[in-house]
Amino acid sequence: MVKQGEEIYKAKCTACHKPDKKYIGPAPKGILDRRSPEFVMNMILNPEKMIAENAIVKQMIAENNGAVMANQNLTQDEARAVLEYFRTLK
Amino acid sequence: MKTNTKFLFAILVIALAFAGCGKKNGGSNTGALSGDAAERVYVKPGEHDEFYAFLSGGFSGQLAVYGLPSGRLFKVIPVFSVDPEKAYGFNEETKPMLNTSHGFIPWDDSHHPDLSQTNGEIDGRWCFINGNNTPRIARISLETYETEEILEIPNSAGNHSSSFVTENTEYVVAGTRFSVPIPQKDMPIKDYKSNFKGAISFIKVDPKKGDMNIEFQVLMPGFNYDLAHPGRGKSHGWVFFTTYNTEEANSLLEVNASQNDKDFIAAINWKKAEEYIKAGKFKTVPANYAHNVYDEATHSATSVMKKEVKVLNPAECPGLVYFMPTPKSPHGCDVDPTGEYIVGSGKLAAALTVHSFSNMQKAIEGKLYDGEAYGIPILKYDKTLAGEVKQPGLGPLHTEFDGKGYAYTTFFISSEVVKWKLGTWEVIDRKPTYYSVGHLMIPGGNSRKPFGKYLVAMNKITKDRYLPTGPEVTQSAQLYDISGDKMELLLDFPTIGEPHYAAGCPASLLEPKSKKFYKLEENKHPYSIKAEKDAKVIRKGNEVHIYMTMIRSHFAPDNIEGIKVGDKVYFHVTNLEQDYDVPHGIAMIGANTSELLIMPGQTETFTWEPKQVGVWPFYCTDFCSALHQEMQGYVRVSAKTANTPLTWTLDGETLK
Repeated sequence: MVKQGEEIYKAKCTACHKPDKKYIGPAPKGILDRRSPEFVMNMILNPEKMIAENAIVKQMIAENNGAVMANQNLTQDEARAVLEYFRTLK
Repeated sequence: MKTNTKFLFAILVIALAFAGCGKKNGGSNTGALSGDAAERVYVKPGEHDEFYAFLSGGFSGQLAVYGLPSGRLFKVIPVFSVDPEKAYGFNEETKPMLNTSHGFIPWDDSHHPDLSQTNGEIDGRWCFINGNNTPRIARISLETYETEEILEIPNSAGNHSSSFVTENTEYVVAGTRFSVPIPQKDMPIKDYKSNFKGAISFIKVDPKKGDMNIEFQVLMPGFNYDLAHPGRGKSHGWVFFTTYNTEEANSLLEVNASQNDKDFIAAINWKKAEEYIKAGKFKTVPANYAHNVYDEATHSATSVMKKEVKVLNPAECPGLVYFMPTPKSPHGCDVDPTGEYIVGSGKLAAALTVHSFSNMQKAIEGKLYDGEAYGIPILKYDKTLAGEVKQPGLGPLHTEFDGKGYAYTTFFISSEVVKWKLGTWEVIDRKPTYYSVGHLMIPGGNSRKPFGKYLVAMNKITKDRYLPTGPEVTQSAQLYDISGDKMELLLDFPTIGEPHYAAGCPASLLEPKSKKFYKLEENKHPYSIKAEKDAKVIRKGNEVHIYMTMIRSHFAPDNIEGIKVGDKVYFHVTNLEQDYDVPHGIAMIGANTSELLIMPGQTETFTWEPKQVGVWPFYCTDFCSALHQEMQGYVRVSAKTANTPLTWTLDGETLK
């Protein structure tokens, strides 16, 4: 699952997220120390709603000059695999 | 004064009572839809129309997608003409779509769209449309709304009686307007008569993928072939073509092709043709025509020249073709939903002629001929006739059906739509059009299952209907409610080019399957890359290939150095987005081409041949995000002799 998650991450996310440093968006390294697994899943699967409704995300958008999280249309299983990969980034 | 006010008030009360009554009961002059015209065409913000309508773009060469009843324009699908907005015919991927035996042709005149059918009903797979000038037939996907295939038609000139679909989309038919020497050769024009021929093509459609192939052509006498419709139901297996210029005139046709009292509707039995093909009764003749196919996986088109075609000669194939005499240069040739009636609209005739398919079969069986033309039997006029609609109007052109036993015919000269009853041939209603209507369209109105709620009239003359825009004014369509006994004009709406015909269907058939984006993992474009780390620039002599990606809101790479004057630079750009409605564009200063407009998951290519040293910018042309205006980059161009190393970076780092 971790390996699958890493592959999906490389294919769909790396245009904006580098694993260990801030790029267009924040780095996923240590993300689970800062955010809950639900937050990460929601951010991947339903970024439009998070951007519109979640106070933390609104704050992040403001700090990132309005760069939005793109919806890359991952399935729930794919998002879960990516989450498991994130757990290994320490 | 006082009395007058009271009197007026009384009238108002009575009027309101009548209006209320009419609304409630849907009186005979009111359609089944209630409310005033504005209410009935109003689609609330955020809501969707009930029908799709595909109107030909006429001399724009394209196909326009509208919603009914609102008349709102959603998309202009580029088909036969280049479109800089979508890079159609400009990017490397779609240039082959416009290849022909005459080379790359950037324009055509698109005429008659028709939707694919299964069991005589619209099935929502494809839309076909003909290019009239340089004869071609195109197939458009109703999932991507892109042109997927264009097939050139050899031995044809003025591909007008096209592109009509048989009841299971076995064939798309394409008939020639001009007869020409076949094969083409240098000969005096005055020797037209009996030497020129008219080719009618039967294009087989692959039931799964839609791929088109000219199965055979029927070499007809040198008349002009105007319009066509395939039989359906009981007449399935036949296609009917109107002819004019049976005089075989080659000059001043407006006089010389209007001499005969009757021209013909040619009835071609394609099931018989298949038997003759199977029995080897065809000739294979040399030809040269382009077959262009766009592949959704590679996002690229290829063009292949085909070199021969099978032809059938009707004089050698008894039972293949019959002529039904039809008065005065008939235009439309329209088959009712049961397949029994074939309506011929003699443009210059006093009555509409309706032939009966059953009568035609009896006349064939009984050999009730009135001579022959070039070996093709002419059936006796009164033996195929079902009836005539008397004094219906002036200049009948085209008829469609509502599925409730009524037909609707356009009249160009008297500028009206006339509703009449099949079987009794009585005129039920007539409504003016503004002005001079050509064709009309009822969604499904040329199929076994019409949706008889709305009728769209496509008018040839606009004059004062809209705010003026100089000598050239927009083309005008009009929407009528035909759900009641009487037709009601609801709406005028402007259209592109000059729509010659249209096809429509319920939105529910197409809406759920409209594609949202292309999956990146299915992208097989030879120059696609799937991640930023794969971005690169490769030099091969003076050819430079840039493999670039785009996502909100940057290009990778966005700084490129080492390009030289005299290079031919290919930008192969992949949109990495995987969400609905997030296209990105790209345009390069001084590039002699259009922008690219790239859908999520798609790869497209433009070329740039820099002529001056300097640092030249490129940017995203489609407002994609709050940081769209930041989505840009530079290319450094050095002198031909310079040694600037080739580099490609993003944020100061080489992509890897």
